[in-house]
Amino acid sequence: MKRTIIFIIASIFLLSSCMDEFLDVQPVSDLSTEKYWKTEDDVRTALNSAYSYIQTTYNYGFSSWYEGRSDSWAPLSTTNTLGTSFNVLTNQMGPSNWTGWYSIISIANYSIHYVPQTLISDQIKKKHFIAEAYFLRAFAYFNIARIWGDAPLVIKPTLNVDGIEYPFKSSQAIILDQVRKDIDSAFVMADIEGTLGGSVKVDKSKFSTGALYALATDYYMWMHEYQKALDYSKPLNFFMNNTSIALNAVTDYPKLFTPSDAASQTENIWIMKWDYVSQNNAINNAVWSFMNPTSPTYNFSSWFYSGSPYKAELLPSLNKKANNGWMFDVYFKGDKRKAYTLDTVAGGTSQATQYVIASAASKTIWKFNGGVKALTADQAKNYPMVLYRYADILLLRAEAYNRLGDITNAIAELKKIRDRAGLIATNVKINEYFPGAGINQTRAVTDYVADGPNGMSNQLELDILKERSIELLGEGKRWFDLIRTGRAMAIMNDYYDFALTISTTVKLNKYTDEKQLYRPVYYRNLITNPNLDSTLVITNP
Amino acid sequence: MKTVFILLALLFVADIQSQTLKITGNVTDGKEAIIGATVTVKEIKNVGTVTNIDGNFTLQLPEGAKNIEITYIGYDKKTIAIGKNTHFKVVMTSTNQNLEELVVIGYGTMKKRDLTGAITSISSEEINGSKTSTVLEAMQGKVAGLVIQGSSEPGAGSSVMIRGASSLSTEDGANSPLYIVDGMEVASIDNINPNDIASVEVLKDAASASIYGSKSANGVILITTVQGKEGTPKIAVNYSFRNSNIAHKIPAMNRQQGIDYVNMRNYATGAMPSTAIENVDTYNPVFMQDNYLQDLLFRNAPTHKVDLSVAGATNTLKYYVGAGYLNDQGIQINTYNKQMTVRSNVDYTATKNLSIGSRISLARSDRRTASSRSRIELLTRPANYPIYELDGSYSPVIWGRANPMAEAMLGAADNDIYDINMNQFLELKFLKHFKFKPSISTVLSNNLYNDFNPAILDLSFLRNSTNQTSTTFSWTNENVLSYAQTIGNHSISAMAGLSYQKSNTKITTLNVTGNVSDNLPISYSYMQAKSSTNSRETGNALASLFGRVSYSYLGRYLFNANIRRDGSSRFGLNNRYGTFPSASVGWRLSDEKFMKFAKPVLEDAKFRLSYGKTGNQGASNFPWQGMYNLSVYATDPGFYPSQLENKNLSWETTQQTNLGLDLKLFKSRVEIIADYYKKQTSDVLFRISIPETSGFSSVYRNIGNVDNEGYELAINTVNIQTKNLQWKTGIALTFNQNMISSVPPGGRLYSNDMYVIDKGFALGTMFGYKALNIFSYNESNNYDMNWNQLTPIFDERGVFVEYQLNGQTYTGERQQKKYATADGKVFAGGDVNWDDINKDGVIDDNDRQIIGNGAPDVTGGFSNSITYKGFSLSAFFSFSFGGDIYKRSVASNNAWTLSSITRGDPRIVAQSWVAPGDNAKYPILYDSKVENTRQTSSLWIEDGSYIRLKNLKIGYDLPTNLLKHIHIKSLNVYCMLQDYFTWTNYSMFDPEMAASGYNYGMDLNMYPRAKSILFGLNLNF
Repeated sequence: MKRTIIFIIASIFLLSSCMDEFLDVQPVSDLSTEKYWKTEDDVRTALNSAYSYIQTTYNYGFSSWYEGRSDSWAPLSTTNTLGTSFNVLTNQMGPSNWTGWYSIISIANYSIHYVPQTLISDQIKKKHFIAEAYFLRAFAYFNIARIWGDAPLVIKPTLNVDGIEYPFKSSQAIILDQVRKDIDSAFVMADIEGTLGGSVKVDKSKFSTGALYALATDYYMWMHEYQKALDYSKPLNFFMNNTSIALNAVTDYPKLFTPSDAASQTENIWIMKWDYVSQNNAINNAVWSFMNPTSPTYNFSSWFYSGSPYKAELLPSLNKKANNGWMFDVYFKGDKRKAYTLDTVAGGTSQATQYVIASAASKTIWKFNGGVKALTADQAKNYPMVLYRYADILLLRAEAYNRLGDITNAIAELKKIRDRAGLIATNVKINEYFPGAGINQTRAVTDYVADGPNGMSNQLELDILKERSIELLGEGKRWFDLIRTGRAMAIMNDYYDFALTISTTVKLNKYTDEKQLYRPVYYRNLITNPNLDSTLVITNP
Repeated sequence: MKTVFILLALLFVADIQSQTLKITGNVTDGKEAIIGATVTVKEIKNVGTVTNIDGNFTLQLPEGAKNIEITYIGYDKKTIAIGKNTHFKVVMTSTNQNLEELVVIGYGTMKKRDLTGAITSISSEEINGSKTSTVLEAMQGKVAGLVIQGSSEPGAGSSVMIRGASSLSTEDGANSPLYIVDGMEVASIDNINPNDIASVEVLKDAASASIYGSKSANGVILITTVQGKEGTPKIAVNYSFRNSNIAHKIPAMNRQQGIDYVNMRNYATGAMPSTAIENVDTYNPVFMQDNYLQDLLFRNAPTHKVDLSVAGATNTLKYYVGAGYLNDQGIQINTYNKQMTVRSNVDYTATKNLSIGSRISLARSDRRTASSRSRIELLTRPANYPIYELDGSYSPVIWGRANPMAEAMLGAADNDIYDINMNQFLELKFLKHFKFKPSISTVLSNNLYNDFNPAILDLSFLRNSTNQTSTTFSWTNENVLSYAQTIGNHSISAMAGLSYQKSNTKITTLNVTGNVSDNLPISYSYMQAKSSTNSRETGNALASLFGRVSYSYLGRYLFNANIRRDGSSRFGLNNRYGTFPSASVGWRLSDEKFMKFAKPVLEDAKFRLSYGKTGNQGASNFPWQGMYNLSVYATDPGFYPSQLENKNLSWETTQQTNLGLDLKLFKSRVEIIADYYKKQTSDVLFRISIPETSGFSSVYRNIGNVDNEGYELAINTVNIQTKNLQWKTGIALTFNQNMISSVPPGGRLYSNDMYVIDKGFALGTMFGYKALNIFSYNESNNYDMNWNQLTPIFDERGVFVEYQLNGQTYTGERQQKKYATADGKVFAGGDVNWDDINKDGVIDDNDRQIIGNGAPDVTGGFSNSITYKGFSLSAFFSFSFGGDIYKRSVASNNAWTLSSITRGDPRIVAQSWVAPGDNAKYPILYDSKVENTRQTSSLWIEDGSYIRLKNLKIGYDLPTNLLKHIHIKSLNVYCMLQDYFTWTNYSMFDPEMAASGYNYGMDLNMYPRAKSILFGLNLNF
């Protein structure tokens, strides 16, 4: 009996003392928090995954969040794209889901939390990584605020199950304010002086001070703080690590978008790379939805429609709903970008879908393919997406100058883009530029009248916007341009009234409320957080 | 093997020195000679002999010999006075098995009589007699409380559930019992040869199972393999041949029906009849085929099984060596499982107090499975699409429809599985009442998976292949100290033990897309091919301390208590250890004085009551740690946080109360075992959704409660017992009620868009729209303001006249049902009249309701066996009542959302609405208006009740005196029908299908049931 007792006591002793060690089985092929966040490589790979999320996020939502909602495009078929184009947004639609954006924010939050604890000895480098995290968070919230309006604000990492938050919505203003803070923080932490110099080669597919300046410019334009936008977009600011920023020559225009060249073009500031193989043989849908030659998701619209009365004066007047013609040749008269932007080869016969007076069959945007027709999806394998380039910034500057009443400088910036396009170098003559049939739209520099910072009748701003819609076609800018300038509702309603021939079975909501400019929240996002009750859903009628 | 032969030789050499008087004798059990019975002289030690192959013995008697004693295991000892006889005819009587029968329990054995928990034993006769390929198949329907659902696919696993599902975890095996084979934990028992089995014990209640702690909540299945028995070596050869066929074919559209169907679809949409070449061209031989694919894809499948074993024992050594080969051919062409098993069990008594033992088993399975795609095409591919080209080769994919024959014959999905299980132990007896048994067991399992799709199977003619090697090694060290003593009327026993377990799995995978040649069906990467490789490793550890005390007073008052403390690597630092206690009491009512009056009828009556706590580890290996996953940005690798840390994560806990009654009546002719149980599982491991704003979408938490409550009843009777004739029957019944007793965080959930997970619902509850009928006319969708349906009246020319309500003309206000799309389409003639439960006129999510439950109300088995002299006849039926089946594949094949080249079920098309006035069972063959058939609905639910003749067996034992001359001890030949008849109303292949957790009763392209006829023989030397 004694032995039994000794045995049992011994066992209990054994069990409690060396048991913890015995039970400490660590994952071998999975990374645990304990092993991570030590080296520079750990930080780099963590931040890489944020770009990876930008990829996947753009891939399923790009067209629905950005240009797909604008007057540049009309849908061809599926329910989702119909709703996007005709303002029938529901909380069931995939692009109503914000999960991807918050995944980017989560990685940024993790990085802001963990990078200071890493063993990276170079403090400048360490801070530059933190700047990158702030930059990514600012980018994500800037998009969330522009897509959903109000949204939850999460700026702390969720490190364990006890840290799970069930946040309420914050107003768009609060979110935008957080973007401002993050941009400011990024400027504080970033290696603005270029101290890291040659040791950090600027990788245009990731964070750089240039990208930060571009984001700041975009942000302050949205905030209508034009002087700040001008300050942040001073060309000088884009110099970093001996990498200059300048417009490409027009002959190099196609290179801006091709997989092999995009990252090395002086004009590009920030691009999103894409690799077909690593994406499990998936193509970049953000690009492909516009350029697919056989069944694109979207078709051009704005340049073909005619509106009368054209309250927004966006386009030269043509006979309302009567024109079935292929208008590119007219709009692009003398424009050297035409051959690099649009399919000039195929097509010829016009087709009218039930929705919109549409482009000729098989006419596609081919700028992403280096100015030649993309024949198969295979060719779209590695297309990048340009997030910011200098032409975008210059046109934003033109818009800012104009809003500040500085027409001369506004025109000067606009002219840089038009000069590159091979259009009239000296004088702005809109009839050359938009030779609307039979309509006298001639404008000289002197025709533009400064009419205050929010002048809705400002013809120059309309022309700048038009220039943007051509220059940046397919790059996702048009919808936010419309919201930013306060023109979205008027222009979209005109578009619905005058541009479309819509089948009676198609549902269309005209814009009656600013709230409609923003998306409803995806139903799954609501289910998982009881603090986002359904009264907070923006119901799009 | 060598040892065995040496031992064999030794036995025959045994010879006794000659003395004065010589006696002879013959020992039998009344029928057969007993070989190896020990004959000794009672008065003088070390004088004795054993009987030979004919049961005869010769013994030289020393002086002073007055009595001889004959002993043989399993028989009562006989003492015979010598007197003046020199020849003795001894008939041994078998020991009353029922009273002394031992039952294997966790870390020990116990007299069946003394059991206080709910344990059911299945004998080797029952397992072997079923002549199935796997042990689980043989157990089906035999144990009350144990529900096994399997497939006829060779090598496919079965789903096993003891007393209902209690976990919501979707991890593999979260609701499966723990399997222990000869004390070793194994992941599955599919590769154990039924022939090697001595007994199977099913531990159902907490008191029996909790000795296995954190892995025991789903019950435990203990398997004991055969040990040699004292006597001459017993050599057994079993062979069986089985021929299987598809049990039930189902109608499929032939060529003409298919074309008619396309045209009916066109008619419904207002289009013209199809002019597609395959539908009109009557000259093109390619499209003139009319294939009934079930005739092509299924076959007569021959299966051979042969087993050999040698078993025996001496005073110091017991041995069993068994080898088996199974070539199990599936009824679907090109599916098989070839399995080889070897087992060696040796026990050696080294000294009086020390014995050592070894259990070694090796198994290898070579398995080919069929792609489910071949079975999707089976029912949906147009009959006129060719299978073979004119040159005899297989036709490729045509308009997206794969060729099921090419899929089955050319596509490979092979598993090559090697299992080595070893258990070495020693047993040391000391201080008279103590035993110490340390053991070490190892399980090494290696699975080589290989699949290959040749070019012809892919739309773009791209070959692809996967090769995967997965190796699992686990070891367990157990040290058990036990004590047993009887002091007067008190029997006391105790046990304490310590266990360490570690397991590690390594998986290496190679994938290639774009292989070079059909003739190189492996992952052979070259420059143009896309390939991916990865290697993973995972593991876990468990350390435990456990103990038991048992007490019995005269076998009348029984008490047992267990406790186990487990520490698991799987759970969070804060909740790593758990304690699982249990206690049970038994009261043998029949031994009380006041029950004497009942004695003539009531032989034995015992109440059992038990309560205890068990655990379930149904989670992956590192569910609590903060983890990162690989992502990629173009070509730059990234890591993102993928799993949220939860240091409090712990096991599921089940508290179970069991009340049982064992009765034996009429001299054991009637045996009744009844149990009632209530299982309450809390801290259910569940992956709950969390706000995506956290960067994560879900996290494992211990949240949720599931209750199971049920009754079990087993009745075994011996109806006739005469010298030559014996008739026995048995029935086992299982009634289980399941209930989720807490609301999942975030509210109601649906699994597979159908199974509702919410408080107050049973697992397996199906949720969806309920179809009332089909609107006959467009006008039929009209109701008065109280939602009473109005009857449209038409004149003889079919012109609408008026609405009527209860035979009276109705002219009041009317309303119509709408579908919840954005513009709310109104249902018309041919659409389904859905039940609008909230009476708002709109059919939407709020109108979903319970439309079925996959879990059966009662399952069980019924057996009958009759023996007459050498003949035996037995029949076993298994049954299941009250479970519903959702025909998921039928639903998607007949949802009319797919293109017209997806053929539906002709029986459904025949009952579909075509023209106004039809009183149809199914809606119009077109879906664009109101998504009639897309949603989960009652249209696709059927009752899955069935009774199946699992087996019917006729056997004959050849007379022993006939066999004697050819040195055969016994020979039994038999003929058997397996799964031959099934009585059911279920319209598809078969109502029995493997369930996984709460996904009960989902028919998704299942492998059809086989029915078989089997011939075999058992030969003993």
